[in-house]
Amino acid sequence: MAYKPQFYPGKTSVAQNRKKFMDPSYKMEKLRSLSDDDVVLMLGHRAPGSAYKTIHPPLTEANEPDDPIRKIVEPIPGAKTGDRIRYNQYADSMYFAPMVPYLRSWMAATRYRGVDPGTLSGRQIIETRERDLERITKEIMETEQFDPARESIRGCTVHGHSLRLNENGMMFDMLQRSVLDKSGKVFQVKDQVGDPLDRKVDLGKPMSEAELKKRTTIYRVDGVAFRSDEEVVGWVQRIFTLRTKFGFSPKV
Amino acid sequence: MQVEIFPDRLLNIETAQALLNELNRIGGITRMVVYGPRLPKEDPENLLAGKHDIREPRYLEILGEKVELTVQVGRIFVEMEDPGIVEKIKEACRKALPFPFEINEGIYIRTRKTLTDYVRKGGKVDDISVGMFDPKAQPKSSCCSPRSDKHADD
Repeated sequence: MAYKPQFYPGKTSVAQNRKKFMDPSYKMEKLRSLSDDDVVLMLGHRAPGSAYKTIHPPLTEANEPDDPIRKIVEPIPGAKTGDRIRYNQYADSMYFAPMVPYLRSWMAATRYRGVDPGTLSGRQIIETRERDLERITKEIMETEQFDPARESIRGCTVHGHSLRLNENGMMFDMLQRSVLDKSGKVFQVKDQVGDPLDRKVDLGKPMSEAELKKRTTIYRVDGVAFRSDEEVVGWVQRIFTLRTKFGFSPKV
Repeated sequence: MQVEIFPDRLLNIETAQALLNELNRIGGITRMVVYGPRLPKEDPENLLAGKHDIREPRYLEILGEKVELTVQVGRIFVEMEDPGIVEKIKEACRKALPFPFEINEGIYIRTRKTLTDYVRKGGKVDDISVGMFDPKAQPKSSCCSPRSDKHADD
């Protein structure tokens, strides 16, 4: 029987959401439309419409030495053209955000090629070539894995993940990169490092509390508790035990 | 006795003011501290209108006195003489807060002098001021201003 990856154990809604986000064959539901320029503006790495800066000549002109690995691995578009390596970083609120930092990294490993993810307690960063980064950022911010109130793109001053929400339901942001207006829509007014944008970017309406609880990937005692998912607990314990025993193995 | 008012959300200025107004009507409270992350400096309305870097100080009005608010109120520490007024505090919170809250009992503001009070203030700290100033606050710069340099050149 052919091996079919399961990506994540468990039967609760949180486990199922984690599983589908990590599964590259699952097509994310698109919730909002952003233009390419919107994404470039929010990232703040280059001016919209400007050429990509390069750090090496295109691989076709590089005359690289003969190497079997180079023949097996297809370079990503940004590597082919020699783009700079840039980053995006997200902070996810622990109040039922659709994404959690660890899942972002697991997802980067299963869905995207040529990326370098880094996980911290409340934020996650992805580094890759500039044009690939823009494509990934667009996919993340347009689809169900992003909620404009509980998640935001934050290159610096990321504090907010573990704080209580503001009264209007937005995650605390010292730099106020995204702001809720009176009509209930969220607008991005600054780029990811807090520099003002020339024009605000419409991120749409935040999800309702019920919708967030349905889509969330965070285990919480007041939502889906981690201990309520026996299969997940069993697997986490198994991996932890094996890893610990392996650490004591003198032969390895 | 001290309690901490812990609302479910970080309060905006209007709600914080409403809650403090309610608390100020209660007799027997000796000290209060508002605590939270630093208040974002810009007004969201200005940001939506495309006006950046406009920094207007925000004030709380406490018993007719204007006090600059520098934090987004997340908790309020209250010290009282009589434990019996906790119920009144709960009632004030129910009136002012549109969401749930918790009242926790504990020690949140220092009640006795510590070494810092002797080092920084020479021990001259009265019972009300204990724990109410920032022990890490830097003293004002003792450097001469450029103007004084000019004066010296003259």
